[in-house]
Formats: sequence, structure tokens, C-alpha cells
Amino acid sequence: MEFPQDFIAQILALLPVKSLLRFQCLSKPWFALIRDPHYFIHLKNPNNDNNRENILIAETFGQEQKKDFFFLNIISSNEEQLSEPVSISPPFFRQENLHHTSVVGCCNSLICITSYCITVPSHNYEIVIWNPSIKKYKRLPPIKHPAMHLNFAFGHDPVNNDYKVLMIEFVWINDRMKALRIMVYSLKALSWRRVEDRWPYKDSISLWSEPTFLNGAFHWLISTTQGTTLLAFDLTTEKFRVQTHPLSITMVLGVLGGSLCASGFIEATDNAVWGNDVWMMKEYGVVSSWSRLYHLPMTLSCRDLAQVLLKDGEKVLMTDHTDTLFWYDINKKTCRIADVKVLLNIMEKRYWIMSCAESLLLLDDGDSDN
Amino acid sequence: MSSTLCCSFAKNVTLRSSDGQTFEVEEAAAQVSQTIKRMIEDGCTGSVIPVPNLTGPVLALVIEYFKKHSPPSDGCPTALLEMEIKDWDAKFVAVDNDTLLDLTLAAHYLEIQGLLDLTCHRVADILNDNSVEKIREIFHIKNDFTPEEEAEERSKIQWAFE
Repeated sequence: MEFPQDFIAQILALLPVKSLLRFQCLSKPWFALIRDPHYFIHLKNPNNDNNRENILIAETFGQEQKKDFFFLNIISSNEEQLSEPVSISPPFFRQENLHHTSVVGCCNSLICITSYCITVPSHNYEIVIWNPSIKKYKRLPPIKHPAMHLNFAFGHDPVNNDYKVLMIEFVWINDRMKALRIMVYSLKALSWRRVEDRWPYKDSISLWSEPTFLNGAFHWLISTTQGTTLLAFDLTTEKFRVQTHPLSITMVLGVLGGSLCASGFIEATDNAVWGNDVWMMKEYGVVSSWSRLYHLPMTLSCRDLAQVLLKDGEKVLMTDHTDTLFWYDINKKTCRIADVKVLLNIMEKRYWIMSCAESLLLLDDGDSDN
Repeated sequence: MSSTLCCSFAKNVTLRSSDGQTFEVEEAAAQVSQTIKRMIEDGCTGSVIPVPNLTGPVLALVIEYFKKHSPPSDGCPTALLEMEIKDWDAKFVAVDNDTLLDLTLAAHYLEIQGLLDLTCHRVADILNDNSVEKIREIFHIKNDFTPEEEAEERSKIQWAFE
């Protein structure tokens, strides 16, 4: 049988990347074909069983700073089932004596991780972009003369099809944060570049949320003396934009069901007990579309905003203050521990959600420790 | 209008393969192929429809597919029926490799997206289930690496072979 050449892209898109890696060894034309950047788009193919909508990543902290990542699929939205976790040890951690690591963000098939020394974070740190599906990573060049504190965000620029890391240098002055230099690393250019746009707040600010990536931009909730605003940094234009934020309570920002969500503590009223209100910006960029999604009673004492909203819109997946994973039923106000047996006994862990699963990104210019 | 009246009966069309074999098939079933559907709409139904890219045996197989996938006369397909069709599809493409290639090309030529998806999935399964050596054999792929080159490439991605 001759290989049906005309349909090669369609056929390769159905295969797991592990198989594609093997097929490089078939012949030189196959080798060139699989390394053709055109085929990198194959991720997000809805027919590919290897690409799931939500992949859950558990980051665990074991003995002697040994670190593991577990990957789980959310199998079915009705059964709320999670697959058995698959452990993947990041190769680059074995060689380094890392004091503290943190997942900056997950985007498509890539994970951005920083590691630093907790006492002098800016003087001894590393940033790595990792594609676990092909075990390749890219170590970013260090920033010259960094300031005392660094804040990172990781996302995808859809217009230039580029992955970018944003770094904001800041200092604390009288318990207020003042931004200094702002840089962007481009995975296409393989270099850092200074952002021309200025930090939009003249005064230093007291509080900001963790950056949240959605629709080609990073988002933060920022508390200023004038109130709370929603700050966005567009990864294509590399410009900031500030939007008024209608909710005054202190908020955590996140993404649920493809929409920007904010959660904040509210005191007991006649209608509700103490707890967290979760709001959703139903129409992206439209201030008036913020509406209350659900209320979480304080007894559940969750740490972060939920990260998965099931398709029926009734259940969210979240972690409590002990980092145990559970489903919360919005309407019935009940919760059920998510069944991940292997991970239940690990005390120190943190969960991250990533959409999509596999790609050949970093195949050509990534490093590996094999 | 006479054309409306015609449609209440099961109307047949005749398809002719490259080697001159003719097959009669219900018009509704043949319209699973977008190519044939356009020909019917353009008024080619009066005479025999030539299908010059397909041999008789391949056209016979494609017609089997047409019959199974023609829209049901009594409305929406049930879940049970969909399951049955899925099973049937799996058996339909469990054929020898040359026939699989013929079906892929036929699906492309006749614009039968469902069949093309099905054959591409089958080819992907064959690739996935076989060793590099076996794939070369199945698809007549010439290995133009020197043994040293191949060993080097393999060593870089050893884990993918485990």
C-alpha cells in the first residue's frame, strides 16, 4: 500500500505526539515532514482523543524538594470522573538545586515554571518553558540586573502565534508596590524585549491579584486609592488597558468556563452566610455583564477560585484550604471530594488546569536531558 | 409540480465504474456523496452517472457505504442506530491495506467526508499499532537514513520507543 500522501496532515493530526516522534525515524522525508512547523497546528484537533478540553496538573512537593507533576484527564463532564494520574518528572529539576518553584501558567501544551531562591528571589532564579508531551524545554536567558521582586505571567499571542512571558519588576515602598521595568520574552524571537508601554498607575498600589490569562491578554484586579480596576495587558499590541471594575470587594481573579471570574469574601447578610461570592464577566470586555454566579459558604474555606466549570454549568472543581480537590454543586450547595486516590495522601500539592494536551512545540529548538 | 410527485417514490440512479460495471442505487443514498449530489442537482440523472476513478469492486463497496449511511426515511436517527452504524463502520474499514487506500481515494474523489474520516482514522490506527520497521514495510517507505543516522535520531527520543 502506498501511503495516502494527500491526506497526510489529516492522518497525522489524529496521532499522539509520542507516535509522531517515532515516525521521524521512518525516513528523511518523514523526518522533515514531522518537523515542518505547519504540522505544529495539529494540537486542538477535536478528532484527536489525545487532546482533551481540560487537563488537570497536580504539582506535588515531596521529600528533599523532590518535585513531581501528575497529569489527569477530566473524563466525563456528567460523571465528574478524573482519570488515574500519570506522573511526569520534569527533567530540568533533577540537575538543579532549586529552593522554590512555581507554575507561572499553562497555555495550550506548554507550562511555564520559575524557580528561585526564596531569600533573594531576583538574584538567583530560572525560568523554563516546558512541553511535557515531548519532554522538551526551553530555559529562558536571565534578565540583567533584576530588581528585588519579579512577577511573571505566561500566555499565547494569537495574532503572531507566539508564546510570551511577561515580567514585571517591582519594589515595595511603605507596603505599596511600585512597578519598575516591564519586559516580554518571545518564544519566537527567543529573547527578552523591553515593553514600551508604561505601567498605567501613577501611584503605587496596595494589592493586586495573580495574573490571569484569557483571550490573548493577562488580567489583574488592582486596588488603588481610587478603587478597584481591571488591568489587562494585550500580548499582541503589548499595551496595557484599564477597565473600571464594578465590584468593590477584595477579589481573586480566574477563568471559569471560558469567562473571566472573580471571587471575593462577603460578610453575612439576611440572605447569605459568610463566604465567597463568585462573579462572572459573561461578555468579555463588557463591564455591565459582570453578574453573580454563585455563593460559596465560608465553611468550605477554599483557597483559590474554582478552575473548572462543567458543561452543564452546575458544578465547579476546586480545592479547599488543605488542597483537597472537590466538586461543588452550585445549585444544590453540596460538595463531594474528587476521587484521586494516589494524590489524597500527599499533603503538599497544588493543582493547575490546562486546556489541550499535546503538541510538537519546542521539538526543534528545545532542550532535553535525555 | 411533477418533480415533487417523483420524490415520493424511491428513485434510482445508475452509476458506472471505470471498468464499465453498472450499479443501481437509490438516489437519496447516492447523495451521501457530495460529488454525485451535485451531478444529480445539475440534471445528470437521466442517463448513467460515470464514476471513472473507481473500479467496479471499489464502487460496489462505496455503494454499501451509501446504503448504510443514507438518511433514514422516518426522520432522526436514534442513538441505537448510531451505535449500530459505528460498529458497522469499524467492520467496513477492517479491510486489506490496498482496499483501504482505494476507499480513501474514492472518499476523496466522491467527497464523502464521513468515509474519509473513517479511512484516515484506520490508517492512523495502523501507524500507531506498528513498529517503525513494520510501517516501512506496509507503506513501502524507503529508509534513506544510514544506520548511524537512524541510531542517533532514535537515541534522542528513546522514551518514545518504550
